[in-house]
Amino acid sequence: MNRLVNAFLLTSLIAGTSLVIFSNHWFPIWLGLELSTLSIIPLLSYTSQSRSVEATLKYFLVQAFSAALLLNGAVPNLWVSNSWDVNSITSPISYFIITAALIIKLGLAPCHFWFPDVLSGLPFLSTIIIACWQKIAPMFLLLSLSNLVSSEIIIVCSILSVLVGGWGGLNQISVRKILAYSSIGHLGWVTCVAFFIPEVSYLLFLFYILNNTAILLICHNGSLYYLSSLSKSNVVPITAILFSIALLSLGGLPPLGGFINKVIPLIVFSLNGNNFIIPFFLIGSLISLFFYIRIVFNTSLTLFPQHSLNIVSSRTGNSSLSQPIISTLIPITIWGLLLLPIFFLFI
Amino acid sequence: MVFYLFMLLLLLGSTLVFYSLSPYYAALGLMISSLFGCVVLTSLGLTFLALLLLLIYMGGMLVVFVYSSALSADRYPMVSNLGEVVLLFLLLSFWVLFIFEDFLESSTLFNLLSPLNDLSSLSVLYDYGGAYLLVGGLALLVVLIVALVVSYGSSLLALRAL
Repeated sequence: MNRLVNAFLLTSLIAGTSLVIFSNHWFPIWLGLELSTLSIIPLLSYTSQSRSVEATLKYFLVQAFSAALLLNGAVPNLWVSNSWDVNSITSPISYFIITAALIIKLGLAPCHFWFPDVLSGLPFLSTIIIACWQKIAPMFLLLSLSNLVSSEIIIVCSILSVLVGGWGGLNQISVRKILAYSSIGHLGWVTCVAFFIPEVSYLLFLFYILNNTAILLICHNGSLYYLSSLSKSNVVPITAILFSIALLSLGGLPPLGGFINKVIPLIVFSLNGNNFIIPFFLIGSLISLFFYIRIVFNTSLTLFPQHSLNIVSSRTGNSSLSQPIISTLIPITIWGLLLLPIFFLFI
Repeated sequence: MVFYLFMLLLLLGSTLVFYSLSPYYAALGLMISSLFGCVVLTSLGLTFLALLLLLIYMGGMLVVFVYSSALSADRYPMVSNLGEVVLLFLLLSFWVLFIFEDFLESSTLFNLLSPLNDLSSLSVLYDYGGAYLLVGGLALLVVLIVALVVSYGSSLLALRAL
């Protein structure tokens, strides 16, 4: 696509998300959500392959419907309280409709069905926009609503998301679908703290974005679209090792940084005396750890009978733009557990 | 009661939009729903918005839409199971009527001599709400460029199926 058009659409995408974050009237929030949805349609479908176009269409329909539902849910609040202000939700019907719209937008269970379909049709750079950047605006809205009204809807949806993210990713061979289900599970972990301390959810969400972006960029560099191409890919061996460690961090193993996403909700739950829901989260993340280990296994621990020149590769995307970004994100995912004391400012 | 009838016809128009298998009847449904949307707005006293809807939406956009959908024409346009639509529609309308019968009479309708709330609120868009105007203009520009890029695709022809 033309570079100027690309730059214009990316600028309007950033403008749309900023419009959502910086306004406290429901109308510019809807406007920003629609603007960000509209401006990535060409970015997703610039290759005119039918898979990308189908995924773009599905994405647009889901996001447009949920944005309309959001605006529709702001109207009963206006009727009851005569205020378009985001920080004054006085009608419970309005809160429920808006929360439902945001859950559809985020891809939390039980409204997660569009997410693996859309992600599996897109190339990896578009996947980064859908899975990481587009979640910022609805997550911000959900957490700012949780500051006002604590409702159990979010806990139920996050439990379902973690379980769905675990079980859904078990039988997949496409790396994009595996990462889609892992993203659903991670969003479940991120939103479950919103019932208690919504400020902590921002920290967990930031960590999820950094971790996910690193993994998706490495997959983009090596064109790792299916599990069968994981062992035949031409990544530099150090990238393969760091990819494996970053995946284990995504799964939440303790000395790595992804454990911060799991230990903070557990601390918050047990401090509030809510020990009953902890096993659901642990079961879901244990099952999702299995398919992370399956990717690690197929990347670094298997050796198919093939030509020996494929094992060590020296012609890789070392000089691409994504390499410095990966190099800054991977240390954050590995050493991120040192950021745990930030959490103790919020208790 | 009349107001309820107008809203029902609005619903019928939008039902026709998504039930029809060809864009001819979908455009007809859009016309019906915009026409009865105008009537609903007029009965609430918002005459400026009704005229705006009629002129710009129906007289401008829908005409262009009908012409461009006639270019991608079906040979035998059809609406899928009209009987099911009518049955569901009758069920819904009578169910709502019997439950909400007390709320359907309203005394604020059809007073067309009320002050022009919509026109005087629209003037704020050009005054204190200038930022909304700019953002709206930006959004329309983005829509234009998106529509051009999507329909341009990878070929140099003017009209191409996506």
